[in-house]
Amino acid sequence: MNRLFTNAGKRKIDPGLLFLLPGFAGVLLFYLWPFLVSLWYAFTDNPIKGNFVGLANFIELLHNKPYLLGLKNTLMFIGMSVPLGMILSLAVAMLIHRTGRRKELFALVFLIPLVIPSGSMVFFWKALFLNDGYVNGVLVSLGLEGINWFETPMAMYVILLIFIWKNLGYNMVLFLAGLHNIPKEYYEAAAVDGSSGVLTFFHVTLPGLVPMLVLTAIMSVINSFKVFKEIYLITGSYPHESIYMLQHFMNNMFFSLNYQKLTTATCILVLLITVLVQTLFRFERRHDQ
Amino acid sequence: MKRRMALACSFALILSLAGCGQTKEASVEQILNEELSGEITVSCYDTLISKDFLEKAAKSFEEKNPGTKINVEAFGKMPEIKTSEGSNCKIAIATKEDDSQERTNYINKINTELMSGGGADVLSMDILPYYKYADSGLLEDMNAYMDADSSFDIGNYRENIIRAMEYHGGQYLLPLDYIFHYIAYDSSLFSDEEKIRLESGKAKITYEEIFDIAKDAFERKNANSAERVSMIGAFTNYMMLDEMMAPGYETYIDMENRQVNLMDGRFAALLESVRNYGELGYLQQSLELNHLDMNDIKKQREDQFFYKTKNQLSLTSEVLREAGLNNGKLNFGFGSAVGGDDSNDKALGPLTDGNKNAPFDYLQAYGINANSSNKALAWAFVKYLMSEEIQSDPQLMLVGLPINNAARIEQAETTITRSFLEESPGEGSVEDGELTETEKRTIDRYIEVVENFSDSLNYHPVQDDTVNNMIRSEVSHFFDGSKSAAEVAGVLQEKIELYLNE
Amino acid sequence: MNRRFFDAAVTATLVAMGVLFAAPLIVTLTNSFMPGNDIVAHYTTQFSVFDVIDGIKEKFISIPVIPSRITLSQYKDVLVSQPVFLMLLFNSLKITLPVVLGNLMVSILAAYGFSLWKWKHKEKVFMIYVIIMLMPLQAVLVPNYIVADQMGITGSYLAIILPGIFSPFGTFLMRQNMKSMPKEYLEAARVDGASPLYIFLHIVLPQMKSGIAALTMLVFIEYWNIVEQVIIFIKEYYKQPLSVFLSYLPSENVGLVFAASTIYMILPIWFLTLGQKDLEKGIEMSGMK
Repeated sequence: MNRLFTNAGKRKIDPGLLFLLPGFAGVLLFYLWPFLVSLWYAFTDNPIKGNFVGLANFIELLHNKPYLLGLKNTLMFIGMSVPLGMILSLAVAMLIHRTGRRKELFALVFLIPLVIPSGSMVFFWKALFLNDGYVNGVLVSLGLEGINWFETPMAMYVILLIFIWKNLGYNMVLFLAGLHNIPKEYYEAAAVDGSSGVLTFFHVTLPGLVPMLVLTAIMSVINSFKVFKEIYLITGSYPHESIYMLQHFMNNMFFSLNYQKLTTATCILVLLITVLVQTLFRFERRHDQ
Repeated sequence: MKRRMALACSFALILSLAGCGQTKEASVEQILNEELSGEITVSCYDTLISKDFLEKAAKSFEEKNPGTKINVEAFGKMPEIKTSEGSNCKIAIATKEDDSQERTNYINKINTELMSGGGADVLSMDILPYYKYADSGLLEDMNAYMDADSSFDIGNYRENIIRAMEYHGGQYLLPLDYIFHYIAYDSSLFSDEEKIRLESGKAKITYEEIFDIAKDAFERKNANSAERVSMIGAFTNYMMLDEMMAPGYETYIDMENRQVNLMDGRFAALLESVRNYGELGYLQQSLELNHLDMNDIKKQREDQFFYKTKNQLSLTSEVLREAGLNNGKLNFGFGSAVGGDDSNDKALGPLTDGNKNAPFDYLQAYGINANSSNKALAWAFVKYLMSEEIQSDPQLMLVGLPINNAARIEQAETTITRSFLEESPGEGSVEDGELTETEKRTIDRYIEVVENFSDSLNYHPVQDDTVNNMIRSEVSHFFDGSKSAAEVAGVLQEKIELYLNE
Repeated sequence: MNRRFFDAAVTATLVAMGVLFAAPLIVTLTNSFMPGNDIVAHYTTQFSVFDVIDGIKEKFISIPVIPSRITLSQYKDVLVSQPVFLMLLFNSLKITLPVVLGNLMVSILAAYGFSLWKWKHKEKVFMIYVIIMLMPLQAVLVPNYIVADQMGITGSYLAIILPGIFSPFGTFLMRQNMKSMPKEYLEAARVDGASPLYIFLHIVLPQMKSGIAALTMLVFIEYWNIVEQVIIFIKEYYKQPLSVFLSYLPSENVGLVFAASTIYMILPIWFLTLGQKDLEKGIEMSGMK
């Protein structure tokens, strides 16, 4: 303790570091360390007393059909769900921000999907989309033919719907927080300049939201992995091949105690995502300057 | 400077982690010579049979071996919630689904613990995929223990059952009991000539064959009778398929060698014949298990079937009937959970693949964690679970047949004398402790039948829940007519291959 | 005129979407007052005697909104006959509240630390925060277990709470939120010679209400719904939170599960309404000098 103070006299400790330190210690222990350990497993042949095998796991994995199928589906799903989810939730956040009446109530309604217990949620989606479910009942009563939702390529769209339904509120909260941080004076200034609604959006709103856009983009990617939980609960560990995700592969590997394959798959995923995150941050920084 | 410190720190961490897995391997001989002490944990999923059994066995083991402690861990089952429904209401939703979620959670938990190098010392293999654990080297091969331990003589146990559960030459799990199906026929429905045919083919019973023998009898009976008599009481097509696949399971799906072979036409033919049996009226499928009420049960008990697939528990009633006793006990077994009229039943023998495989199953079996830090105690406890003392303890009565030979004979005596006592209370043997002649004869006959049937059991293929679920859901498309047998076989071949190659 | 029409259209859109999002909640709520038999009749497609009489050939699941009969018996069961429910609910709180409070504190400090810190590689450190967040749960489960095991906290809530407190998501969110805060304030204060702690308490903190509200809401929801980690770490069922119980598909007592779900959802929803108001508080330039 004493040394800390005396040292501080000689060479000033960065105050930022002091604020950061408690959090960083925890992150190191509970996140960074497990992260590094699990990456280490990717280079071994067995979770317990494993031997170092170099890149063998990676080579094997790239020849693994189920893995490649899962990777393809996951990337496709991210490509569709993240932009769509972000645009929709931004639109809803803007609408709620604008609307004069019952702001809180509307915002609350969109958060409801986040608090429904997963058991009930799965129960509802099943009641809607099973072969003898509600939606097919409506279709048949309209004189159309029922669709086997979960066992045709339609499954992807059902999952997309579930994802958007579940996560719209999440992004909306983040966008609302961001929108409120844009000082009203900016808007007033734009109004004085006679800027139109669309122009204000592109010149004031969007630039003000950049940090939050980066955040929601990254969180959407994470949440698009998490949607696996619902797919899994609805369709089991081996669903129709159009919705066989990377998470299915990982989950199944976990169940087969094939931990090294699981972490190898994660390694590759992390690599891909690092590229994405880096691009997003670069975009943010360039915008900042 | 700062950076170097951080580097040193993380090195220290890595070393400490690497260090924790590097305990020196002790040989089995060394383990067996260790003094029994300390504590172990036994983990099971099932709270219905295993938990109670294990807790009682653990208590008596601790009393016998002071200084040891056996912790029994059952997966935290959620509290049962009952609603106060009206007296006539029936809730008609199957509980299968939430069950599978709970199983998943349990396996998840065990996997995490095992892969972290920890976990329970003794694992009950009630729902765990033991072959995956064996593949990953997480289970101890108990062959070495059985050979090296002089107090363990495999001759005291049903060796054919134990050996049939080997996996890639290793004994990764030891069963406490075994169960099996056998076929019985209703002798009042067959002509003498047909009975001779049945009795002569006793050793190798397949459904195809016995259905063929009963073809004429079936038509005879159902031509001039208003009440239809089914061949067998299968509830669903899928159950029938499952039963017919069982004796030759590995020729379709060989989990041990990760092979699947559904494309050579045999599987499609099997599907076709099950459907054919349904169309011919062989299978009795009207009964919904979910909707059973007292009337259904009563009616079921009067129903006649040409054949019944029973399980080993029903062997007692078979023998008691021969001895002139009909204690009206229910039959247990596939398709006859509530009985059917068994007054003319004659047992044929265990189901086979027509060649040499006769399948069986177990209710309780245990394996030892290869990472256990107290293998001596773990082995001693598993051995104790298989001992005569535990296996014949009436309080711990195993549901299946005891694996221990002496215990099996004791169990036979208890079961038969109890049945006699129930039949004619007061007259039994309990007062003077001596068995009557009839009782002795019946016991001997029962033991003869059980041992005879048990001798032929030799087939316990590795089965996988996921694969079986895939088959179950896919064949439903065949039975509801939306897909052809060949299509179903094709889809399954692909799906299961994907799973096995994952 | 135009403005009014626009407002009406916005409200109409929001109402329409809101109904969709709130539907499961409404159904759960109304169904929780429905007698068990009625529920079973609606959600099963097994034929009953009545269907045969009515000549119904195909049956689909119907989702009833308005109960034909109303009963409070399920609530009586949940609250009176089955006190275990209340215990599980209490467990949920015991896990969630410490995580929310702890994570808030750690995250705000760390985020401020990041913005103060002058090390040239700090953006790289920040990126590590983001990337470790992306690890799928299955991949870090085993190292997490090892860490908890070595700390001797498996089987206790600490194994869930501690990682929750240090979750990097909070830091990420707070930092992004801070970025959109106009830098002029901080510069002005620094020029005036205020200490970092003073700036933090008197300028940064009051400005971050909407971010804090968003973080509180999202973390609360996440830990309220926690399932996987609990299953690994908590052995006794009476120590598990309600979310684990409700993650199983309602099967036998659908009505009862509806009632339990309703109670389970009330708390977070009430909590969200509290957070809503703070979400509205953005930066007010006029209050600043």
